[in-house]
Amino acid sequence: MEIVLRVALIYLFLMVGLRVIGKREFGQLTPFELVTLLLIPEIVSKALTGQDYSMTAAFIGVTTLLLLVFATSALAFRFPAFGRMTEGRPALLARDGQLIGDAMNRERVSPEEIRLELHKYGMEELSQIRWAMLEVDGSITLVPARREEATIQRNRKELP
Amino acid sequence: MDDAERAKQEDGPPTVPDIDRRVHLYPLQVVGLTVLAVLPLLALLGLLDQKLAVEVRATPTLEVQVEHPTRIRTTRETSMRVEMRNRSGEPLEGVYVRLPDDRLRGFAVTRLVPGVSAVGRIDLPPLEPGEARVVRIGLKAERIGWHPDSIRIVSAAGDDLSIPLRSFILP
Repeated sequence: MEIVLRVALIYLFLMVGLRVIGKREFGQLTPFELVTLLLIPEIVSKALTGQDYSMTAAFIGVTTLLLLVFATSALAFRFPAFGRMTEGRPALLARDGQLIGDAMNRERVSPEEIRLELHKYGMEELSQIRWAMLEVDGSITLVPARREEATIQRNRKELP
Repeated sequence: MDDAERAKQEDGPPTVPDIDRRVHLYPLQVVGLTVLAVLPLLALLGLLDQKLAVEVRATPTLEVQVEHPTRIRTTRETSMRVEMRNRSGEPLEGVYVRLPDDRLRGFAVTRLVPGVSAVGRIDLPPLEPGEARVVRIGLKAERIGWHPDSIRIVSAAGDDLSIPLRSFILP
């Protein structure tokens, strides 16, 4: 019984903790962030089974975790509000070639990261994008502007 | 505010229309989830936890109470408690506890209080009338499966009690 409760508590704790630190942390980890996050299983592993190294304890822990993951995903699908609570929602970082400073500051996304994504998409300038979104999985997606809109935006920027 | 309103207000990309959301499972998934739920359920009901049982045997002169594990997980440590009480009006001498083959099947003996006098034998000082003494045997579950066993308590007054022990060691 104790193991089921331990796993459920740690699952809940990690769900809240990871939600609090934000989705950006999982999109692009620096080596230091990666190493730091890898410490989490190291720290919680002992608390999960509490010195019980039997196979029974391991199976109870794993099945409890699998059921919790399934339950969370089923609830998030069935109730979108719950899904938004556990996974968050996408954030708009740029619109019509203009960076949205507030959103970028909130999500801790730097202009350099947007520039990097632009290059990955084979684009050169910010004016070529219609929207830049930080998705719930931490990745950044770019929606290109239509060609004529990009030209207008570029011309507008070049005007004195 | 739903996602569509929010997207409109932020002038973000349009959202896709929602569906009537229901959680539908494949029949095999239902079976799989049910099977997965068995272990946590048994654990929540306490059916996979350690269980102790108490056996009591008595003669006109000696009463013995043994508390031992009947269910335990492998690698876990526990202890067996053997309490002997002199029921007669005379001091009871030559009382000892005997473990078969110096150990119990399926377990490793990690600790004995008081210590052994001979291999597999724990001798006790004379028991005064009404006096009780306790022997504690530290055990570590080692071998998976059913392990029927027994422990003997003997006294110089002719008492010879054999108490059956039956332990199940979970994987």
